[in-house]
Amino acid sequence: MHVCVLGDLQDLGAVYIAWIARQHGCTVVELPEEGLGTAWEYTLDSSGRGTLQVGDMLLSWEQIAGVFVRMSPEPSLPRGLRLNEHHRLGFLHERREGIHQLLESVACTVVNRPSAGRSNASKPYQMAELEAAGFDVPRWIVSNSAEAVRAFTRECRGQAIFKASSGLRSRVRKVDAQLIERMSAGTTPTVVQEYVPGTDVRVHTVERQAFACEVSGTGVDYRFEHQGARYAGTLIPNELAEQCCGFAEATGLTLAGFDFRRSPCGRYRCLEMNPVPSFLPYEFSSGRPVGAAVVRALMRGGQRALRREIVPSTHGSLE
Amino acid sequence: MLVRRLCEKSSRVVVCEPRDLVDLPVVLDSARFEVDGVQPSAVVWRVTPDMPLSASVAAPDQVFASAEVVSAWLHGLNLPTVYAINRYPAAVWYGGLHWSTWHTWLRARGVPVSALHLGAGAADGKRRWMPFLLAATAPIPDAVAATALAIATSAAEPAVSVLAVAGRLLDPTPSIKMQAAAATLNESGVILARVTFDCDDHVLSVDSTPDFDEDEQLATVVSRVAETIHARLCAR
Repeated sequence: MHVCVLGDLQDLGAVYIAWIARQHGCTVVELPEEGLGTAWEYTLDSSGRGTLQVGDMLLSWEQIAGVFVRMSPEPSLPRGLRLNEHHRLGFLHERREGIHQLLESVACTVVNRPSAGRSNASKPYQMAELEAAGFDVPRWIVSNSAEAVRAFTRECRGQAIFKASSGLRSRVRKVDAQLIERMSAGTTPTVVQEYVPGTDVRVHTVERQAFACEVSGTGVDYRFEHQGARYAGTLIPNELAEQCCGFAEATGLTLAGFDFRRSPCGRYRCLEMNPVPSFLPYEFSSGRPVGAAVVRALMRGGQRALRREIVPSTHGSLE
Repeated sequence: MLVRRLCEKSSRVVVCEPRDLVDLPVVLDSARFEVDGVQPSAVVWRVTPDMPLSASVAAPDQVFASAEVVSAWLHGLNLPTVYAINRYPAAVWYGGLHWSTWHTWLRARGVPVSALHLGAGAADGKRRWMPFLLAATAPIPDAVAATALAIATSAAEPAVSVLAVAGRLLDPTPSIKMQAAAATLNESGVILARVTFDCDDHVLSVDSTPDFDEDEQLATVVSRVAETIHARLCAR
């Protein structure tokens, strides 16, 4: 059985998935983005048929069970190719779009297709989606008006955080005088949200399985506050696991990462969903086997693609 | 012209250049969208994902600032209280509004799109290269470039290019396939677009910020857009 790992092969998630796939007896086909056209190439027609050539190995796409994708934010040109900055960017963009189109078109499992979960790039858009799906999202506003932020923070009894409105990574901080000052001077729209005290809970979903890990001992944003952070596997209510799996499935994600704050009274407040979750720190510290579940999903992919037109998908159990 | 027509229908119209969007005060939550203290009933959004939206911000911060601005507006445009021309699903907007994104979107909704081949192996003299980042086709590049880019090619030629406004095509005799494309775009929030079809009436490309060929066409589009907005406002 062939499983592809595509994109940035130095990414630790990609390395780990490739390793587990080999442990499961798969032949791992490595498709580095910068090697397209030199180390590997492909064809694909509108019916999803075509070939993948990697060195001397020629495969049909029907032989590929799944593709695990981790794209680099800073991809390289093919070895030996030199272009000026304008053409370099054009080339990289064009090549990336081509790979995206491939990933949208192949029938096998793709973890994840590029179009899935794109709402993560707009936090307000995604929070509205999460609310509509029934998640308990702490109240929020998006604004570049100091007055509106001041008023909202007052409504939250002075306990509010702010974070980037787009998908660009930013540290979550508490609203303070500095933010208000910056807003008064003129700035971009920012998400301001009610602060929820409690424990962070990350839930990874892989198809119909959910794996929860709690992170305690930190303040506002544990991703930037490593000192004192303690990771441990935890259990979440079945309904919440179902809700996460259902939302990920509806948005086309095989693998997703949901961020919650569990309040002292046990209420799960949903903060966001990540379509390219970094699951390794959670798996290594909690023992939750996310990677193995991803590989199983990839291995099932080929069979599912062949059956897709005649058998409705079935739901497995929750962990 | 659109502003004049909307003003004639007693609407208050605020015009903002895309590059100045960062300077507009906005407040949004899960139901509210205020722009400069006013809740807009309709927005004509002639913005594409590659446009800079933050001219007043220091140059090194402009990419971040534009991403922040558009993430807020994308949500605002999709609120049910706002009639946006156009509003975009996140999957389409962050796909870059390229023809390939529309192909994926429309094909998933059962609209016939032109047959494509991905990869240099399919390139031959009968096919044209469809660069992902361009609206137009191009001659097949040399073999090294074609392979390194895994180019998309199509044997389909553009046969007709038609404006779609609020689900209707400005074409006297649209086929059922063409009507289905316009209706699907409209249901997806794309009220105004130019759709290019091949000779089988399959969608070859979509331009959701179209230019207009002639004054008469512009007048027709503006009239329909103004009427659509006005009808929506009156219905509230």
